[in-house]
Amino acid sequence: MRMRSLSSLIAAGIAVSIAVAGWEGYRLSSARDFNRLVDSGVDAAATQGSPEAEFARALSLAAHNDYEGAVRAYKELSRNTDGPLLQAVLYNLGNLHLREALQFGPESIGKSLPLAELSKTSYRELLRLNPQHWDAKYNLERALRLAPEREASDEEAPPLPQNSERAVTTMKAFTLGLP
Amino acid sequence: MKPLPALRLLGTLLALTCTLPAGAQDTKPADATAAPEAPPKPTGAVIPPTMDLSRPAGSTDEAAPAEAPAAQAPAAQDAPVAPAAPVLAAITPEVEAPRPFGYVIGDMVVQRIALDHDGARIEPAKLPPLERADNWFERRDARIEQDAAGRRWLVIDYQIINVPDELRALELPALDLELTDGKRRLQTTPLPITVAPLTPEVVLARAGLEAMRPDLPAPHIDPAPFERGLHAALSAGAALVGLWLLMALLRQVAARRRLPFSRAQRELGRLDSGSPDSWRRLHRALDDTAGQVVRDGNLDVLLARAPWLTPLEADLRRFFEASQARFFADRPAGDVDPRTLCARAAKLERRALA
Repeated sequence: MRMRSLSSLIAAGIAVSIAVAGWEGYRLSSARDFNRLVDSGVDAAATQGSPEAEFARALSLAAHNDYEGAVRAYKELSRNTDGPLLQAVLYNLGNLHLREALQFGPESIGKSLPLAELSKTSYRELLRLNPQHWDAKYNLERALRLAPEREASDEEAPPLPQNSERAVTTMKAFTLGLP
Repeated sequence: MKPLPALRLLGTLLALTCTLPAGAQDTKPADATAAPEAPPKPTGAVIPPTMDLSRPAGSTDEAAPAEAPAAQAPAAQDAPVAPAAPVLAAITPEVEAPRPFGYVIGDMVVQRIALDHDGARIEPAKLPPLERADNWFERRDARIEQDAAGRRWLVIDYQIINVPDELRALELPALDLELTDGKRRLQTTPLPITVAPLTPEVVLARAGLEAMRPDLPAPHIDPAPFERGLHAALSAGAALVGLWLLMALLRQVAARRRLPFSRAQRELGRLDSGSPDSWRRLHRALDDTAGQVVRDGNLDVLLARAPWLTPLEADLRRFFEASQARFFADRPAGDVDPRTLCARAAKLERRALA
């Protein structure tokens, strides 16, 4: 009777493994479908239901100049994802803000400054997770060019020559040793 | 030509200013790279340890001068006396300086500070806070590690979060931590490292060097985990099917050795079908199954004990009648064959019990 129970247990295991295989097969098929859609166009991929599809939707909104919608979509994703997808979300979110800031430019600093600050926050959060993200480094630096964070001493006084080499050899209109 | 003397004077003053000892914020990269093995010299404001001039030069554990407040006391006799803040001795520990050059924004800079002094272990009362340390660095992590030799280090990770307009020497912030003994402080000096921008002030607007790097495309879903899951489930299923078949085989083998009709079937194969022994063997199998001697009159007892034999009830009755006639009336057994009947009973038996 023990062998009979054991056989029943094994039969149940077979049923479970078949069910798991079916589920994994379904997910594999869905993933391949999604990847085909991504390859064919972002808008098509945005109709799926996975986090990657939500990312595609945010990307599509950004491509259609829906800044608010794209920000909402990326923000929602940033709360529910992690790993490489979260890094991609933070990077694209920073790009979204920086692109808006660059549209206003330094001429409309009142509008571009808050956006540049938001982009810096996103890039810094990303670099905290992955200090080797070179695109984020590049864009953070561009954001800092738009909205620099200078030292207090730099703000208060005009920059003075900081070392002898620069001061002596690179100052214009000076030729030391000549009258 | 009148302004020329004034300009020359200004130039001379500037040159004199720039040849003063280091103390400015910037340091030339060449200076920083000249001796990378040597501990970097402080170039900026240093939190000075309280000095005791009575001790030999080079001593790093310097007690606070107790006489200093007393010397100033006469000058401040009329002033209200404020409670004196405890003056703590300063320890300048060994610091493993990070590479002093070649950093860009986002890079991590790791500083390691030995947690021992004069061969004795020292312990900071608390780790430095994880926050923006100054305009350039953010302290990302601070932890205590032990190396292979058993030496303990305070390891601090800084991240460069801001960038100067051009290559510049920045100073990793100095530290001033109270130790757990409450009497001493651990102090480090600022460490210079050079940081350069990645991009020019005006972008080149050529491929890859535009105003900003482009968005990342929608990521593909990695199918590998699902493939692995599918393979694992199929492999487990196949293994279980094999195990189940093996178990079924073992059950059949065990049943043929253990169950009464199956044992009888095997023995009947060696006997002559019409021999008296073959009839007796079947009787014994029926008795073993019922747990008592079975006759035509108490066949119900057998069927109650072994209900799987119910489909054979009529055949069994015929067998008992034929057996009665064969052994006690000396008449032929008709078409009843014990071997065939036993084989059918054994099959039902295994189906029910194996």
